[in-house]
Amino acid sequence: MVKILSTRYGKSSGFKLLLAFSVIILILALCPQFLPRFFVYLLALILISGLQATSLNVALGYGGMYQFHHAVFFGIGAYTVSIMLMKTNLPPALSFLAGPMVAAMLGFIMGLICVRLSKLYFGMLQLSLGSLVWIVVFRWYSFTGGDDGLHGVPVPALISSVNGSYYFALITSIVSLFMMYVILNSPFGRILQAIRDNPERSEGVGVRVKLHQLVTQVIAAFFAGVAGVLFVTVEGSAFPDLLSWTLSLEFIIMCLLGGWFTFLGPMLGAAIIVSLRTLVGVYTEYWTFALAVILMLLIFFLPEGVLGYFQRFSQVPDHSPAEDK
Amino acid sequence: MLRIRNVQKSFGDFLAVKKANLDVKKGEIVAVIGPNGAGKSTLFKLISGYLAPDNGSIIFQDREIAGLAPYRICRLGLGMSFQIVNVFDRLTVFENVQVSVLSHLRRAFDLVTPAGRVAVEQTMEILESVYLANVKDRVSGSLSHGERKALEIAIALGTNPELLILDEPTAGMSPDETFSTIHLLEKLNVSFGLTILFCEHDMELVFSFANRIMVMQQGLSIIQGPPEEVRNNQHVKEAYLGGTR
Repeated sequence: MVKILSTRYGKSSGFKLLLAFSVIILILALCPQFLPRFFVYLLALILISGLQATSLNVALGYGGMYQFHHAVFFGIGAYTVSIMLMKTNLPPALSFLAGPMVAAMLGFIMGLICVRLSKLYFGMLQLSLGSLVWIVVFRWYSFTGGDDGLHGVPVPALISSVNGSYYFALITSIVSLFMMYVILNSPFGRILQAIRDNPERSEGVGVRVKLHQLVTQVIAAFFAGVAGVLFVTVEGSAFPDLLSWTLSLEFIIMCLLGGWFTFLGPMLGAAIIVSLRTLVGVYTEYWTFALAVILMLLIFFLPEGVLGYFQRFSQVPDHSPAEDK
Repeated sequence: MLRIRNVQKSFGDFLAVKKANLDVKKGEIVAVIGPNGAGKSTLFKLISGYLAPDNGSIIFQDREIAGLAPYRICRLGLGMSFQIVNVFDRLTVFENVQVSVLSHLRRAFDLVTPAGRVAVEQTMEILESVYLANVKDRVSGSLSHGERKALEIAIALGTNPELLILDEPTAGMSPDETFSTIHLLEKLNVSFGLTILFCEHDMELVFSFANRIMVMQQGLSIIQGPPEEVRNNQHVKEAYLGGTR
């Protein structure tokens, strides 16, 4: 199973992958039948965080962009749907669509500015612009509720119960993951990975690197917006912390922990982090202490993440340069 | 096909290319030689768009290309292979070349077709021609130096160039690898009419392989002509060949 999950793009056997996915989806679909409500809620959170981390990984792991502030797009997706549901009489479906669209638009605007720079400078600029968005959300009381956030968002009854929101998150996550998989497995995705490895060389073979990176920003922001919308259906609220850079960092850790050069790594990372946070939270409020320990262990022992680690053993002739370092 | 006139490039106070002139006609194999630091690599980077010249003109296919972005120059039919191996380390050998073919076919923004089904034949053809088909599934970071150099050339070929620029194509290769690389380049030149511009330290190879040779010294192009003329030129003997030939 690990071998199937950790398979890289382009080399995967489609049938095996489909089978593995079907089994996982079946188990996830049956979960509400035998799991207590709290665990169903927890699973929904894992799915949403995993979707968010996967969307981050499109830019980070596949695009090689220092996507330091991806939570902004998550938060904007959440706020957009909340504000539209609370303050307008538009059909809910439109509000749900608007979340990812507005996030994608923000991705386009921020991307337009950021892709001019590369590596660390890209990351720092994104962090700065993201913080600007955060402070606007944090201070604009009349529109965003300021630091109080927006609570009691009137989510349609069908998807507001624990099981309803879980199934909504499950279906949307599967569809979104599938779409991202298709995109990353397309010529666009292959060239994106080439840009990650060597932007200069990519340009030399006729690739419009900056445009490619901009489109990637829009795609990554769109799916982060989807995750943000799902968060609102599960929690019924949106608050400024959703756009905070500490949350961005947590998503980055999910990618690194699970394996940022694998497709399902971020989802696995999300599962580990969200579960641990809940488990550790029972005993102590110092969850960040545990997070720091995880991060240190990760850097020393699993530089390519959990799935990356297993990939090393499952693909014998395939060794990547990072392992030589 | 390519006409360079009075091209100049400086880095701060250092004048890397003072006054370079070069002509490459369609179907030719032209070599640029010169001691280390003569400005050969800089000149190649100026042609391929990685650097913009301070002065002078670079005409390719009747179009001024000085200062254009590398991707634009590539799309006009100019392929570049680098001195320092410059491949996509995490991708497989096949994927490395495929990226270049996909870009040439203008499929960069195809978001839905599985990449495994696109440009497979063209990519395999190129891999076979550079004898890399048997290692196509290996991650390029794990190849030997010679194989990586061959891959470097294969990536440049993926864009189906009319003019191929090679910066020291056989540097660090074993004699066998050098032989097969030269054989390949000759084949590409004869069978497909590919025009080749290269620079190389191996004089034996340069004089046996090139139709015409341009000699550079301290950023200046001092002569361009057939191998015999260059070999017998007194100035070249003094300046570069040290009078040994």
